[in-house]
Amino acid sequence: MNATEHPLAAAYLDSVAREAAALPPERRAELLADLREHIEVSGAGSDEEVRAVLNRLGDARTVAASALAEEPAARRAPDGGRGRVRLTLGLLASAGLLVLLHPLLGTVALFAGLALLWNSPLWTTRQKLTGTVTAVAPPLVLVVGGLLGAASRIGPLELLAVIALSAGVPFAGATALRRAARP
Amino acid sequence: MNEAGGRVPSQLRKGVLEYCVLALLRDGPKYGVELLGELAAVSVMTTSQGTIYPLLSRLRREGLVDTRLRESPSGPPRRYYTLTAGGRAALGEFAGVWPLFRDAVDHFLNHPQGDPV
Repeated sequence: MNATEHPLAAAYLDSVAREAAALPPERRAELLADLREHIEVSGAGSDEEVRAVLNRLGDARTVAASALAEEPAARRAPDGGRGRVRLTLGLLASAGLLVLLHPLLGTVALFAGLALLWNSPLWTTRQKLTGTVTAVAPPLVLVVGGLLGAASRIGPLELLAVIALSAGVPFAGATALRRAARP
Repeated sequence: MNEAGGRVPSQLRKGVLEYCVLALLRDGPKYGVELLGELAAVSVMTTSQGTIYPLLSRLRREGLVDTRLRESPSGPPRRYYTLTAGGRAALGEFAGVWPLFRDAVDHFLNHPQGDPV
């Protein structure tokens, strides 16, 4: 087995990619290729060996910071993409409620948020999937519920539950993503 | 924290690490794992091997080293780093300045009054 496919190595490379989000893309790709090659050439096989190789490489944040330090200041992303993160999470968190108020606007916000999420290097694929599910599930439940005719016998309690679901689940998902993304 | 991780070694490393890398390549090309292993053998020179790759990348952009991918008899191909003529010149310049620099620091450490040696 190729050592870079080892789950520990894959997780390490993922977190370097996240920590190095503010690097110019070609520089980040080069750093990851160098580290991948290092892990591969080291020939580590067992958990123990892979762990030792990763330990010697040093923690992901330190490695990414040293790459950022080699960059002239002007070339770095101005705020590490923080504004973009805020926009992504804001769209995802509010899309559920927005769909209730204005289906078209809500759908646009939802897709814009998802596009930003999937194009960002700040999260792992698994985190992106979780974020997508929490953002998409409530509107989907609403649509399915509507098709099944549940809307015709909706009472104030059900309406409250629907609002709580549409606001709460995407918000919780966005909060989890905010914690997972390191600025 | 070990002796190589303190603030002083880390400050000092910043200025000299790249010349140590160039010096290691003086006698012939080396691949990444090999180069990093030799640096790490001297504990004060590096704490996290991964931080050397961004340095190597800059040296390559500055034309001081060159890289070439070579097949390996065992395992995946390896990227070899070679000293360029520019790298050799930079190393020569550093080798000329370093003894003066080292002596000057020793001078201040041993003769804090600034008396001539």
